[in-house]
Amino acid sequence: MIVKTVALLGHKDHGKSTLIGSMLMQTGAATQVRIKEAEAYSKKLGKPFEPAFILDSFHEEREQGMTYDTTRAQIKYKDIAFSLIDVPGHEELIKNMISGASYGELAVLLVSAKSDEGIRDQTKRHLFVSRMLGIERLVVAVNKMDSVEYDESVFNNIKNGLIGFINRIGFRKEDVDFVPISAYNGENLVEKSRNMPWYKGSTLIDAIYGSFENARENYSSGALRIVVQGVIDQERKIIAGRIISGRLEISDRVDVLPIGKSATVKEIIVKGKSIDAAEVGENIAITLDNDIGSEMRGNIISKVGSGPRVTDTVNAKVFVTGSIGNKPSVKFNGIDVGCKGISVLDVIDTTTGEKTEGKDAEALNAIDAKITFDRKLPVENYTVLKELGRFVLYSAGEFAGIGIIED
Amino acid sequence: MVDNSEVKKAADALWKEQNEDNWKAFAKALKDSNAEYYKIVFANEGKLNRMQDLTKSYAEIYDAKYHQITKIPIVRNEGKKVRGATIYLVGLQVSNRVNE
Amino acid sequence: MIKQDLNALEEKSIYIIREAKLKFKNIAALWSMGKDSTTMLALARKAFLGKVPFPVIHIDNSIDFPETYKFRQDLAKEWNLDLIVAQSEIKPDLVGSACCGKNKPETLKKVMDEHGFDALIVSIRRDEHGVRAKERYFSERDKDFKWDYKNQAAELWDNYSSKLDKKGHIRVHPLLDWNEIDIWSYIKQENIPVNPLYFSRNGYRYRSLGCTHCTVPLRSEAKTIDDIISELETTVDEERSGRSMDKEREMVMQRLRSLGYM
Repeated sequence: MIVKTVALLGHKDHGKSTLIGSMLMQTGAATQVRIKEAEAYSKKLGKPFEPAFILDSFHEEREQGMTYDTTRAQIKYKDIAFSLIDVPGHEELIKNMISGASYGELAVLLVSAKSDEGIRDQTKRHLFVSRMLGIERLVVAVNKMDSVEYDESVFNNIKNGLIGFINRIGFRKEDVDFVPISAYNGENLVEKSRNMPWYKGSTLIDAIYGSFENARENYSSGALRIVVQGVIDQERKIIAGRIISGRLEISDRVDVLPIGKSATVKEIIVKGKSIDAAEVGENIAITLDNDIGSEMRGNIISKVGSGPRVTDTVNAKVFVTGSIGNKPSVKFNGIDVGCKGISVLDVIDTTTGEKTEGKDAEALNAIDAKITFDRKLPVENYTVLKELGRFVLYSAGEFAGIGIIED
Repeated sequence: MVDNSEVKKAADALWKEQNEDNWKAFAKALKDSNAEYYKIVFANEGKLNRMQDLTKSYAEIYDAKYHQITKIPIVRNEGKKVRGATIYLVGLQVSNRVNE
Repeated sequence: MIKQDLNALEEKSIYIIREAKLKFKNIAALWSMGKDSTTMLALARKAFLGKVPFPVIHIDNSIDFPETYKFRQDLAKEWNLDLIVAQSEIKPDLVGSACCGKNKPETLKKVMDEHGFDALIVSIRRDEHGVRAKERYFSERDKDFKWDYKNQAAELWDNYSSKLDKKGHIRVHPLLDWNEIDIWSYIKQENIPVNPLYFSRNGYRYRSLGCTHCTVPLRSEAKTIDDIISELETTVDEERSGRSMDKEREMVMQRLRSLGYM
């Protein structure tokens, strides 16, 4: 079964655990045993039934005072399974949020409809980062509709208040859905709520499902790009790598960049078997007719004459998480590369999506910047090929941000 | 018919004295016997609080029809040092039989 | 339990195992002879042209099941493994549940120091326990093997941590995304040898394997891999059912200890 990863964003108090608990219950992923345990535990605390207690480890956490408050829940729906990643909020460092959300293929943003729990700046930043991380589709779940008497105007106000920002940071209108829900009562999650007849759209799970159904094509038709991991057999000069775009065949003439040598593919081995051609996504081992040397890690193999551009200077959008200093370094496709310099072109306020005057790269803002690496690298614009257009920024060994190459 | 008297004798020797020779002799006798299954019984109902609970634990050895042949200690008691000895049961299968 | 796309899981694991081998100077793997770590070795063989390219460590407290010893002996020979058996001592006051939690890490620490390993492949899965939700594929451990989950290195876009605290090491988790049912489906697909203790004998089988003392069998009639897979297809959280809350709490503590978190 295909498993799609959903990043669940939003402030803790807006009901993330309750949402996951209810979804597990309504899709049949939670057993009667687990539900009974949750019932018993709610009772013990003198509370009405709390769906959040269905989550694995939830009561352990409370009992032991341990705060591993994330969990991974898998939910089956029709022919797809969803892995929900609970993205850490304010209580954790931003690098944990970024690491979690980077695996998301879709984001669900949970916002409370309660007037005193409106969307916070930090949640907006998380949306901004999610878009930079490559998440293209978004479902905004407006929660706690039961506490505002299922009022359509509350839902519309939240929607209208957010849509401008969402579009400004790069989500296309047709890629964003808004769903009014009550996670606690389980309304509009899997089954349609009777209390909101004014809402004609799909339930939350159908909105998520629909997003994947309409997901755009991957890079199988693109130009050949192989990221080289290294040489795994020094004697036979066997090179290991992963095809991130295109297709490779025996006898293909290829370039190895930035080393700048050409060769012909002699042998392709996938999972221990010699084959004639390999496709995108496959981890391959190959031999070439030309000795490229053993220092190949981070090189890109492409069809001869149609490789990525090789440059030491890029314009990039960078989300800054700490002090970047004058000479940061980057991790790019598994290798560490130093920078000669970074200059700020302009600053983007990540809570509004608007460019502002400024030359300072302050934490939690984004910048447009010109970066000069200490060597030439094979790169692509992020919009052309994600894998060759993104990097992680470090300063003095500390995580300082993430960047995407725009030019 | 295979005679199990050798393995019984070797096991008895282990209860009297545990040394390298006795363990080796047991392993050889076990191979030549028609032992098929083992079952490990931990002393003190499995609550191992003291070393004694472990040194008093044992493995029962059965033939293919679940007739008990003998039993042996499951740790090697070498003075202050204690080592497990289940490796000497290699070749047998766990019985999982609930006590009748 | 959700059965995932085996091909996608396999590709990701191969990628991670290769990254680990190529990034670190001196890497080893833990091998308990259980289904997970044996599957990991099968994946390593696929990634490295039929040969497991690193030493495998068995932390042996010498009261493992005889079947396990037999399995170790046979597979080490068949797959030509560079096997390191690290004998863990049984101390009088630390037998029972404390054994896995304390004795085994101590022995591991010793063997890692002796060989100077800077990274260790461990075959844990996220679906084993909620506490593992925060694990990274490359996870830092300090010199005392402690895991500072709140302040881990960022991990994204296939850029993994190689930062090493002077005496610490990196734990590499190539099976993190796999579910229990995926492991069994893959074992079937690839015909990977497994310890016979996983199959039912006299109405019981072992779902996970530790030593003879801390491992209890569960009621099951599953005598083949297919039986186990169909058993798991209908299992949601069998492991927890039938336990009282107090008992549960005790089990949780014990499991956390054995998972190396406490």
